[in-house]
Amino acid sequence: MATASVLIVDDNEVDRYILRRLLDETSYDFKIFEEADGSTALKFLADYDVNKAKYPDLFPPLVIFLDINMPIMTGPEFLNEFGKLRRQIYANSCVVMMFTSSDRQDDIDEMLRFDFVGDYLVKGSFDADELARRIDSITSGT
Amino acid sequence: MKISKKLSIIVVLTIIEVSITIGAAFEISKGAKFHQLNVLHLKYNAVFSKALVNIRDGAELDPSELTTVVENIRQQPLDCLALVNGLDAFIMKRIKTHYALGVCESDLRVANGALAAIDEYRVNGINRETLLAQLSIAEKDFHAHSAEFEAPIAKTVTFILRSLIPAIIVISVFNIALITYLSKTISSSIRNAIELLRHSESTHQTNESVTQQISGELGELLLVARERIHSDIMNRELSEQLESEVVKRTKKLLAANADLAEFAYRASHDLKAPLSSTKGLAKFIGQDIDSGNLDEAKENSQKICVQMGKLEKLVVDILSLTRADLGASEKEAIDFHELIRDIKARVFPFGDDADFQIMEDIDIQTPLIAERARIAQILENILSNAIKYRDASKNQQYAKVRLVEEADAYSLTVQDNGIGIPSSRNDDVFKMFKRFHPDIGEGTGLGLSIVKKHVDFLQGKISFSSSTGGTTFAVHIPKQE
Repeated sequence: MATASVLIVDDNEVDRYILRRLLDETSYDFKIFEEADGSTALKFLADYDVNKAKYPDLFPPLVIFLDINMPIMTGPEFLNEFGKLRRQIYANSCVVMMFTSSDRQDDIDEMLRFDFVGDYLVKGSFDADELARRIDSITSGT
Repeated sequence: MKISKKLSIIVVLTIIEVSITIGAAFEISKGAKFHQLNVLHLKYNAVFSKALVNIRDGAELDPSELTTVVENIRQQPLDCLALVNGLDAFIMKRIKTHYALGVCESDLRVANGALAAIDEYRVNGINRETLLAQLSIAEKDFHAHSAEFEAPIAKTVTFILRSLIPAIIVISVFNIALITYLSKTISSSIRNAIELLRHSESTHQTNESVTQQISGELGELLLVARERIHSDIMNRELSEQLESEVVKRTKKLLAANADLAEFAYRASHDLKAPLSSTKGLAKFIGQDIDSGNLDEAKENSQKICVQMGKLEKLVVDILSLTRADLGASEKEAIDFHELIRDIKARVFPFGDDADFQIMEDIDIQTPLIAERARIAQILENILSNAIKYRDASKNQQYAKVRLVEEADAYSLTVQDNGIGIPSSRNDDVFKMFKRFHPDIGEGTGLGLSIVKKHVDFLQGKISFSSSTGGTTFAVHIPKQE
């Protein structure tokens, strides 16, 4: 029985599948939510009351895995909006972990500017053990 | 006459006038000197006659004292003769006062005779009485000479004053007149030049007028100055032009560079994405085979196929995009029916789609002449978007291709009844690597940038209108010259 949840926000279905499988390989037992765009992810998080009622113990997600390049609302746009939403609703309960194929330093710097962005994962550069370690280190602080 | 020549004439005239004036001043002062010498002669003669009276009255006769007195007297005719130069002699001859010089000479002779008599007395050649008698005669002669000398000298001096002063005045007036005339001609030619420059309109006219109406150094000065100013202006204009050109090009280059950097980033990002997905999937397939989960392995291998297909499409699109700027192939008359048939074969590789219809309405008199590949890519990218973003909830999904010929252009429109483009992203429609439908993951985000590049190359225009009821793209292609 899952005790916590994560949200994967990525327009690429295959990448969501890969991350899902890697999460399954870890010792964590997460409930996994998925969204294909920043806009729908934001909507999911903003529907706090509905989702809290639906998933009383699992909502809000512990970690949000966030892609940068998405068709309608990009990662940075999502972070701006989520920053406001976060202050309104959940305070510090939710950490963002970037999940992107860009390893450009400009992108890394831009994302880590947000204090609720805990880490930056480059797609294809980590395995399940590494993922577990990263999740440990960003969630142990909270 | 050249200005420099006029100026040198003025200088020469001035030198002549100054010399004549100085010479005249010398001559006039010489007249005064003659009078002075005569006065001195009378004075020494008075001393002489007083000495003779004293000796006769019984005073001692001192020969050396008498010698000194006579030598003093003799000095004036000597000075007088030394003072007279050739010009003076000539003038005196002309006005018949030349005899004054004869008076000087005879005075000199008398003085020398008196000195000789004194010397003779010293050596006892003659007695005291004889000497006194001789000296008395000399004294009278001296006196007579003084009287005789005065008249011609006064006449000479008067003549010099009367002739030289008017001459100087006449010469001065002539000089002033000539210098005034010359300066006037100089200043008037300068004024003329100024007027000419002020009133002439075109540069060409000025050039001709200058050479015709202003001669000499002033004309030359104007021509040289004009050339110089002209070249200065040209230089300044040229350097300003160059500068602005450099600024413009630098801006363009910077923009192109930024575009290229963005393109490289996006291209490498999008090329990398399917590769890293494939890497992950391949690893999972291994795990699935080990664990005997062959269904999952099969599914993942299909996913790999999809990823590779995407990669292939992306590479093809990137190549099309980079080639869109080059006019590589031959232009030809395009048969749109054939073109649409070929595109259909590519977008529906497994035969026509029952739900999606591509309709055509080609209404042209003269065929469109262009590179076939370019027109094909424009139409195919727009059509494949129409198919990709079709509205599955509608029974009949379609794209209508319409080609109309105008006076100097062709108008190509593609209208579909698909899901439309979100209005919030209208600005990004032709940008590279932009997609607007997260759930439809087939696109590379390059299609419409390729279309835009081709349209730009053809110097045409593209616009679109879109709603949830569908999208219409309108391409305006000018006829080729």
